[in-house]
Amino acid sequence: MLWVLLLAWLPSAVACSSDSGDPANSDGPETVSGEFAGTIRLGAALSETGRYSVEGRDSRQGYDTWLRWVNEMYGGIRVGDRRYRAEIVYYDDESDADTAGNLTQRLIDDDRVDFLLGPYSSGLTTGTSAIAEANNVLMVEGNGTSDTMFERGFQNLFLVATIASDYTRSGIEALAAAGARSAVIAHEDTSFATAVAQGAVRHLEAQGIEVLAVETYPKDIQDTSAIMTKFRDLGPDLFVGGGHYNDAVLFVNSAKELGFEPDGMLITVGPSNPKLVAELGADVDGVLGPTQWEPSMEYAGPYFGSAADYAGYYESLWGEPPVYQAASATAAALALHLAIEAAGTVGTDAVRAALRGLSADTFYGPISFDDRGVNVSKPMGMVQVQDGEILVVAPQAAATASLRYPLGDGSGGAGPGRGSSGLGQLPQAIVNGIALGGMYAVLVLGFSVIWGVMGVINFAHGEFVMVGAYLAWLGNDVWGIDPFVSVPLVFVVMTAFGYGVQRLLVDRVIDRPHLVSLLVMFGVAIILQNAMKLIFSADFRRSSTALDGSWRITEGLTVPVTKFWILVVALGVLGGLSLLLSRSRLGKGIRAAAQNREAARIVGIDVSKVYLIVFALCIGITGAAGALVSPVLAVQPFQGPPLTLKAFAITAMAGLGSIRGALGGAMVLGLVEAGLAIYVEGVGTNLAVVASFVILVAALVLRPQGLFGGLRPVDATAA
Amino acid sequence: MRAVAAALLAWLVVLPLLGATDSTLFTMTLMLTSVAVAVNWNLTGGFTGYVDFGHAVWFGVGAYVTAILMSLQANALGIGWPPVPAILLGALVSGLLAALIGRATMRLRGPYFSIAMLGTFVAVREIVRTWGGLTGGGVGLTLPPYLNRTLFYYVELVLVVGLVTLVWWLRRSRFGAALVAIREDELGAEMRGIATTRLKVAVFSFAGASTGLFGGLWAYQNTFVDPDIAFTEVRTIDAIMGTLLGGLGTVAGPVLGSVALYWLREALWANLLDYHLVAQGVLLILVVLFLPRGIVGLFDRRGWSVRRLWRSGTTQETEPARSTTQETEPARSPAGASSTAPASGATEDARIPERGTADAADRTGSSAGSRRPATSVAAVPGSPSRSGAEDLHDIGGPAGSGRVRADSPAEVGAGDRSATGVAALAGTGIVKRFGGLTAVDGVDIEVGSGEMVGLIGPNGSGKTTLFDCLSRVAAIDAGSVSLEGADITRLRPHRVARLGVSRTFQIIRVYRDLTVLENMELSIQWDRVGVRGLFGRTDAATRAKAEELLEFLMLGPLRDEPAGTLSGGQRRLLEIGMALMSDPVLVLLDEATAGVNPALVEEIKQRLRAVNSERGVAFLMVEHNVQFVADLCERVVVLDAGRKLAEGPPRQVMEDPAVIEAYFGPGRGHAGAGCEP
Repeated sequence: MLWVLLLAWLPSAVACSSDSGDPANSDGPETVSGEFAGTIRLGAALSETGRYSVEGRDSRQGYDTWLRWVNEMYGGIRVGDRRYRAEIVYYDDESDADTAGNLTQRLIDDDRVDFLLGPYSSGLTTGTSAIAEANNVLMVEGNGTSDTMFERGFQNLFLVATIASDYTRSGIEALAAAGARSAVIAHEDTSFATAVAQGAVRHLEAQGIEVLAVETYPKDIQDTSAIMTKFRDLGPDLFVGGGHYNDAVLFVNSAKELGFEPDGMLITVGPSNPKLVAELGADVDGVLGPTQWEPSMEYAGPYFGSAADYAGYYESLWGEPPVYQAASATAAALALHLAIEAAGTVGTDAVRAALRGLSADTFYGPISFDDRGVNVSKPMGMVQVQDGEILVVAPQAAATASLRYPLGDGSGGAGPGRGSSGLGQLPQAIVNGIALGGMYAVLVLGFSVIWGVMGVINFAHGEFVMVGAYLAWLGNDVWGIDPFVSVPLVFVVMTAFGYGVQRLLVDRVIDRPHLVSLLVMFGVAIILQNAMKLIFSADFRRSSTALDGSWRITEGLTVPVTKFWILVVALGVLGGLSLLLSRSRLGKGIRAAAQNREAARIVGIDVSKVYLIVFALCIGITGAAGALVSPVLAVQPFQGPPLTLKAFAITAMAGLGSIRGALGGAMVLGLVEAGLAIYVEGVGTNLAVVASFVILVAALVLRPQGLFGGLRPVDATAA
Repeated sequence: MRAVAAALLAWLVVLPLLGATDSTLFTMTLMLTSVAVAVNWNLTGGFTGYVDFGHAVWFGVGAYVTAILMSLQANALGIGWPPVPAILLGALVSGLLAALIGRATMRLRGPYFSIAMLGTFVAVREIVRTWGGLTGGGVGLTLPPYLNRTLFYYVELVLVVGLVTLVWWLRRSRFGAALVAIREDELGAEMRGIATTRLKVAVFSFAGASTGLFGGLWAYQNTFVDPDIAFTEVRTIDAIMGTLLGGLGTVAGPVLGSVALYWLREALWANLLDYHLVAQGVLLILVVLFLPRGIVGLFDRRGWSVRRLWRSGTTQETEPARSTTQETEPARSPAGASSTAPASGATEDARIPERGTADAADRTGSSAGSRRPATSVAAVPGSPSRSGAEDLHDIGGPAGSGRVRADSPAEVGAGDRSATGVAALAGTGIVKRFGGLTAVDGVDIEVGSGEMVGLIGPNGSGKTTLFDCLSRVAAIDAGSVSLEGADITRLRPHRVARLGVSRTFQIIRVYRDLTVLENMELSIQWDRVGVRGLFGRTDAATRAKAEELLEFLMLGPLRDEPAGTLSGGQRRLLEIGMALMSDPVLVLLDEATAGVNPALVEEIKQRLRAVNSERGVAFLMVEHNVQFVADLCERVVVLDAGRKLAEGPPRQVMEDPAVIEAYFGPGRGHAGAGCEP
């Protein structure tokens, strides 16, 4: 019976949510609606939740800015002699491609929208625009700029923003004019960042600038020191890179750490964001970045007035200045609006023709579309951080300051090590690897011991690291406590937390099979990730410590100070726990319980208490490790899963519950990752990410008992 | 239930005709996809007990192969394939890759398999991302836009209904029973002749191909793939959560659970925004803790329950699976064994005519030329030629189907064998080392056709290890094993079992969660099943045989009880019954009397004797109960420290000073001899 109920309810649930998910109807200016001849209905799937929730909200505010303006200030869309009220139906696509596609179909079928506005991000726009194309509905957008979307020959997709491959164009032209002659490129391997980098290569070569190297790296990268080591030794004039806000932080930090000082740094995402300046201070001075739009740009048009006027109106509505994502959204809606008025009808073919013929000056810059549907008349802007201020330096038409180039002494990044490769980088690779290994060792310890002693696979391990890191960041941000100081405090708090989790959950499933505890901990992971995201948002955070900078041993070898002290603390923790296990009575009890739960019970060891102590202690150590690495690894709600997987890999390689093994495995993984990243051209950093999983599977299949011994042999294979 | 399913299906079929919009069909199509992935996941995760944390990898592989073939962007394989061959090829590639990876990763058990698959998932995704020339790298690939959602919906509906029907049928076939046997006790299943590796990899590969098929369909529908949307953990998580919610290891479970989850998410999603993800985590924990059998469990009180999977099923920890653990024998005083009454001379003598009868029975069986086992026990009336033991005269049925196992390697020499007593099983110079320890050190052992041989020795003398070597559970380091003259040294355990060697275990291995009858039905001659039989259901003859054997072993009244509820002695009897189901040439009994009360020991003794004399089944038994061995066996082999210490009739062996010294230590030989062993 349940079958029928559930399936029958589904379409009705769908129908219900389409009513409830439409706040635009009630937000509309009811006071003036009587004057309108009718309603033109637009629709958009936007990310209110998930990865893009912040940018999704900005985009929605951008669309709503146009909506308020067109209905309240402009008096509705003028079609012929009549005025139509505009309306936008929104759905939350949860930053998920399937959901966005489904909702776009729903907007077309159920809500019968006349036109579509784009979602946020290239990934989501790619899928939704295909549905728009298939249903012959026009979609105008400003926040999906990947080139591949416009190579499909679609007739119904229009982009008001500058396309990804042109992001760096104006900046590179200005830098070439200032004398740059060589460059290196590093980019995230996602759709958008790859398009930006491919465009950058083209523009660099067109300007006669030699491209010395192109490196890719995976999304959510946590360490760019290998890439920067390679680049330092190539000694280019320019560094061009990016893909994500966090990458900008990593590049600036690791360039400083490793003594890589190019004449110009052009970072594709980040520099236009005031947060970056606030976070990095003077270190980010001189860094260049592209921007779609800035309120200070010298653009103006008959609608909204100048860029500054638009910014003022926006701020009056939302209480915050507009970011370019919002301006792009407003401009997309505006372009559609102008095309409807030019066409004098809402018919798709007529409006499409009007969009093709559109040529308008706006607060956002000039808008006119080419055959692909891309706005080619608005150049990308470029900003430079100058003495803590973000100033537009290119193109000339919009610039408010002049470009500073070269930075520093003008010698480029070129040291004596210029052009060196091969063995010349070995010492740095080893230092990087050991630093990475030290971090991994302290991060993996708690996971390994809990598994070894209790037989529980703590799938929420990375999340306990994350919570500890947030605690340290909070202490750092609110009270200015150095993370190295807050480590013991976080340890105490997280031990209490671990105690609670053990009493409430783990204790109930400890005698049940692995799968049960695994799934319970997996549930804990989901809860912690999303709870932290609700509390702190998905922004990347980082603690600052007094123990930063680097020691330069020789020209080609630097030792990062923070990572060095992390290694020292890690070795201390490992040594302490090792002594506890081998020397104390508690340690003997723990080892007995690990080897045979029943036998330990029989000889009078209170196994439940042992487990309680072990779990609480390990969660304490894990949280403290999170606090310890919070200056180095970005703190964010979803940093956990990759750490859990690395913990698996190291534990599988090392053997369960072995402290020496954890250290050895972590060092092996750190060295392999650092070596691959430095010695493999182009995709080394990607390979380093895969390495841990290859090691994981190979270690499990080939040597299930681990390389370094452990509390008990891993009984992994069937006979 | 059938009517409900039919009504539901009818509703799904007419849905597009009732004016459902494209977006409703799109929603339903996505839901059908998640149902299909969950059903496939359940094949390995639920039935076979291999919990796969990386199942979404096959979805991504299918999607990518389809996308590469259909892509509008040029690549090495050309552009713009039509959808049907592209999607089918995607499924094929997924299936082949699954077979390849499954062969490696399915050697691992429990959480190790789960983690290895998670690693495989991430590694494949990163390879796809890095291999830009073929896959478009992080940029992804675009496909031609797709228009007809109604057609798409019907295609998916037909495929999902087909898939569920297939799984339903599979579950009722011997194949499905074998998968459950693998989940319950993989080594036990292998020992009873199930080709566990082949079956589990086959089902893993099928699930991979099927999920790949739906991945290809999804790519076509989505018109765009990139590594992050084609390979997303969410699909694995949804499959696991849907299956758990519906009922792990059931046919309807993943279907119900996925639909419920989809519906629940729509409901939560409308009202909870970001909180719905937190709520999902809470839901997962609650289901795992409080609804371990899922929605299906609420309706179904019995059936193929998975309770045991939750209690103790999937891990090695509670299973005595490895031969190394079996080596440690339970602490037991050898003196205890020797203090039991000695074998009486009369019993000893009485064995000799019995042996003769057994051979006669054997000869009868062979000369009857019956190369196949009797298909119906009732149809072949027994011809007990046995004297004495009147209380067993009414077990003609099983005896009739008895010693007809003539499909062995030495088949051609069957006549010789019975006449000359060619060894049923012979081990020559067997050596087995564990690291530095030589557990079995050059032992020769032989069991004649229809003979009953005892294997005794102090704790740690290598008896069970020798058993493991003979049944091929453990690889031997030197020496050879032959069965009726044919070399079986290199065969896998299930091959050995199929050739007619059954065994029981020191620590009882029955499928605790299955009923007594189901246990028996799983212990058939798997080599006779064939492909058709593998997909067929248990036939009447097998059932009749199982019931008859259960009656014979006094387990008739318990046939529908889960084996886990039987007493220790009853489980021993059940194990013996299971060993006899495949009409073996030889049964290896590993401590058949351990933990069994003395009254039942006597019963077991009588039953074994009857089986031996009436069916000509040979026995090799490891025993600590010397009385038991002395009563049953005409010949005893004594092991000490991995070497053969003595061999001969029980009484003679017991008086051997070397044996006494091995049991009681040096210097006590005389006292030991004085005391009847």
